[in-house]
Amino acid sequence: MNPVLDEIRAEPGARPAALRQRAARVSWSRVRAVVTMGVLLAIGVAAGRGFDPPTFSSFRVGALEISCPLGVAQLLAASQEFIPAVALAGLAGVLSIGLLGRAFCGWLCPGRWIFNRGPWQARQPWRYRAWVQGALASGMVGLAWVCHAPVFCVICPAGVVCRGAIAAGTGAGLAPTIGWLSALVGFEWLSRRSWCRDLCPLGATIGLVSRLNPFVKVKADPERCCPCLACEKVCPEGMNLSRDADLSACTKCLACQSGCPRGAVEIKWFDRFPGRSETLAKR
Amino acid sequence: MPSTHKPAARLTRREFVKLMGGLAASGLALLILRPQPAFSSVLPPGAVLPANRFRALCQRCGKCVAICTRRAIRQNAEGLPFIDGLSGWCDFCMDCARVCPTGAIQMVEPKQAKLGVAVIEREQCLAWKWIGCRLCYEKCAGLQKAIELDGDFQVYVLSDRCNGCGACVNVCPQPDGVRQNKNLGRAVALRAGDDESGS
Repeated sequence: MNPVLDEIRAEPGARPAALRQRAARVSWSRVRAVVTMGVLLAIGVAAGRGFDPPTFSSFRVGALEISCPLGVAQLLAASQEFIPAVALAGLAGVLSIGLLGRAFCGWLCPGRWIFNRGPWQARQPWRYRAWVQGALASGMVGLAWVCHAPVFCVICPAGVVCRGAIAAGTGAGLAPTIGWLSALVGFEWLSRRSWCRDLCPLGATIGLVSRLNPFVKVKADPERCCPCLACEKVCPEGMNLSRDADLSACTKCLACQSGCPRGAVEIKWFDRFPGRSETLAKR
Repeated sequence: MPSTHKPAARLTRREFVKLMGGLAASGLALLILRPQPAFSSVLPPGAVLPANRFRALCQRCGKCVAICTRRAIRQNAEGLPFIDGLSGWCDFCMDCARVCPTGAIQMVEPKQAKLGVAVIEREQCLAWKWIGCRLCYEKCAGLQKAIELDGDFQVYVLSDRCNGCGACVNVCPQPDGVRQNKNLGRAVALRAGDDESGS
């Protein structure tokens, strides 16, 4: 039934062929680090040369403006007025999340490299995760309404680092960037929770609408997977490919593929059944 | 006779530190997040909205900072843009309004824009302490002609003609007093023209 187990039973001393594949796999964390650094460097250099750089808050593709959905929701709440152009840009942002899910969190947001370094990564995520994320996102929009300013945009790690790249490119100081980031890291340590997984309102907003995205899905190959905890341990979101049915929190960081001892994680570039994957737990 | 007093519940050190940390964090959060009524620094030329609306609409993305080739715009700690005469001066090219994704900075007629007023600190100004320096006068003579010399070659600003571009702050040779007082530039500083804000 399981070729790995069959091989081990047949030849107890030898290393199964399925395990020998492991050396050929890509170190995705290195690729992601290069992508994140490259994008920030490009933003800084573009700012230094006086171009209009694409930022994490908003960027333009042709005539289409794509904006951060949480930022747009906060802006509309803060100004207490409906501005069609801004709302349209936010809608475009929502659609792009519908295509790529939380890939922004794994590949572009530098928070992935700044936070998540404490012992709380071993804890479980929030119990009613979708509800907590909804509360986080709508709480930020409500705060913007009350304060008449997009409050989370001021401290948002993605925005702060982006502003830092622009400041570095144009020769301004990095004191606000470092200050806000260390305040957030301090908050993470005080709360004993993982920022990216449990606390970030931006990640929560993206997670709320990422359910339908069909591209780049990780999936456990039922031929090779002997349900264990290897993927759950390396996954920054604490998900287990053999157990969890809802993978909408997946940031497509592909750490599970690098970390699986059996090479059982497949990357499906296009999945017809978005949001759900068959679990192995029932077998 | 035994005392009826119960011993008071002891506060452990850990609880005390947690309490103080919570109080400090909530105080800091209130301080940062409280709604602020006015915004008084010198804003980019298209920021013609009322200060509250500008704060609400600005997404803090930094595009106006990046596009400004003269380096006239900086972001403060909150991410809001302001005209910083120390690093550059505004030539009213309106690129910042062109790239602003939310309409917080809007297109305005450059000739009618007024960012603020230059104010000369006579204590620091070389032309007022000794005679000789007139760099700001020469710079402004090619632009707005808002700085003039009096009979003793001392400079003064015609505040109704000054449009607050910050070129005089940029050329002023006096060391800037930023470290002592953030509201002071060099011997000449930009002030938000609160009374003239009707543009």
